Amino acid sequence: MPLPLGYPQPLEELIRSLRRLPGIGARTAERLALALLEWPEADLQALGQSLSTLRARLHPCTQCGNLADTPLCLICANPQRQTELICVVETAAQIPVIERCGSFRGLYHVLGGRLAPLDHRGPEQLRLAELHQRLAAGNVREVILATSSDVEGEATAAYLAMDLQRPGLIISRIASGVPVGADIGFADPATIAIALRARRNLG
Amino acid sequence: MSFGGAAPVALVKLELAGFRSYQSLAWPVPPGVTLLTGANGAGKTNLLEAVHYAALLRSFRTRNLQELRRWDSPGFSLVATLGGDGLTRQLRVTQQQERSLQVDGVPIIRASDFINHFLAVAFIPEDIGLVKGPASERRRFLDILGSQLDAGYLRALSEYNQVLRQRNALLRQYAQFGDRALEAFDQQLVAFGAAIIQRRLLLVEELRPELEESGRQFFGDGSLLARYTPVTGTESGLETLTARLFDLLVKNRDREKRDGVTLVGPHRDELLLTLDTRPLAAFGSEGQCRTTALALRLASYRLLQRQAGDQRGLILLVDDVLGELDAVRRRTFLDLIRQCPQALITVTTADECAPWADQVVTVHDGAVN
Ligand SMILES: Nc1ncnc2c1ncn2[C@@H]1O[C@H](COP(=O)(O)OP(=O)(O)O)[C@@H](O)[C@H]1O
Ligand SMILES: [Mg+2]
Ligand SMILES: [Zn+2]
Repeated sequence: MPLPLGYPQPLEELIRSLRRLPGIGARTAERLALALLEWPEADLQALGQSLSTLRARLHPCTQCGNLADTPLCLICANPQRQTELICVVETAAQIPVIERCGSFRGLYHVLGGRLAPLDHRGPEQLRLAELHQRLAAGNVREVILATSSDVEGEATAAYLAMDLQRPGLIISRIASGVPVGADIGFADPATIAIALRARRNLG
Repeated sequence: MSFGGAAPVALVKLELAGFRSYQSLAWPVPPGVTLLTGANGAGKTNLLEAVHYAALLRSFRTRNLQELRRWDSPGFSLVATLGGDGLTRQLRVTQQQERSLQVDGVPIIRASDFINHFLAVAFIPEDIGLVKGPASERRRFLDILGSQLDAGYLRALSEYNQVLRQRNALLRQYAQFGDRALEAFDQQLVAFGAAIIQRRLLLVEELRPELEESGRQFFGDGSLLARYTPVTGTESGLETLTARLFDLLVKNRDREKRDGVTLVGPHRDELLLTLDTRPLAAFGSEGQCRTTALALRLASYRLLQRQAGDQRGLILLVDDVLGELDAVRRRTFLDLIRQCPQALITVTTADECAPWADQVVTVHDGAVN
């Protein structure tokens, strides 16, 4: 949609970009752009630098797939974490949601998606080989499936429950508490803490 | 029409902007039975359609939203105000590039949280498709009625439809996905499928006495029956239904992989309508089929009235149906709906029906008088 505001090109470009962010409407984007205009030059340079190098400085953790700027992410590199417990999530964005509740001390594994045949996303598109490797190393006692509770999330959990099965491994699913149909990204920490404690055994 | 004590919940006002032929309208909707007269093309059906849309977020004559927007308008807005029983509630739909919904000024994200704040049942000439048309029309009839009575029905239905879409997509790409992924979707298909079958069985059971009654009233002594015939059989325990549905999936696995589509489940089931034990779709005369459609709608109206009408408000919409009935059935129908708390009925000439109505209004030139 064209902006009928008549800002000069550089501002209009910025507003257009800001508007693509979640929760930012036309007016907010305008206010943010005008506020940036007031920033000291050095701060603007720094922001620009952060943006332009963001991708290059981040990569998936070699172990779990979480966002990292070192080979291992901060969680995997932390010696205090319980390595015999792995919580499987759809995307790296879900890790901070669970971390915020503070009750999970294990490690994560990021699938990089979920089963969604309508979008041509099958098991092949998930980071499953990496997960199998971690399990094969033998140290993991329990896998918690924390995929969303909608149709695709549940199907992914059902698939993993079958696919990951091996002797001695407990596979559990975070239980209700996460509202049915809700995206786990929106659940509050208390809900997630309850859900993690009440997880049910699938193995 | 007068009410003893507190007025039941009813639609008290309808405001339209850019909706169909209406540029701008604010109509205080009367209680009781209202006849809408006016020339062909005056906009009578458009009004009924607007009420139906406010109740269900769907039109009874098109699936294409673009048709609802007035030709010279970028979008439309529609406000339905409910009142009575100490309550007022304002339902607002604004359709521009996107649809936005509000209840009492509070934005509503999901359509399922917006619909059925009040209940509408429409009688339209196309209803004959309920009898003569494909089974999908009868399933839709059941599903809308079930959703009006029970929000859980709607949830189960939308989850089921989502699993079904995913599973069909998977079957089309079966080679890339394999058995294990298929099984992962089977679990939910079976769970939601069985839940819907169970709810439909109960619903048809509840509908039975209402249908028997309206059947008797329209057909004299003929016996009009509706029987839901799910692929699982009609034993209604959820566990049995789930197990049966799962067995059928397994049995049909090879055919499903070959055809690339889910072959068994509530999306394929039939609601069988019979008159004196003969299936109407095959053997019914035109007149019998029309009357059956009318009896079905009336039965659903009565069931809604009995279970939910007082609390939420229930409005009857009758579009061009009276003209298709013979004089005797028209009288019967008007007698039957005379007592209903709120009805909007379109007619071309009011004279004949006026004695049954609480008021007659004229639709002309984008206004209601
Ligand atoms: N999207 C639209 N925009 C403007 N006018 C419309 C639209 N859809 C239908 N109409 C007009 O509405 C009229 C039909 O209204 P309708 O309610 O069906 O009439 P009736 O009173 O016969 O039931 C027609 O004149 C048609 O041109
Ligand atoms: Mg009409
Ligand atoms: Zn990591």
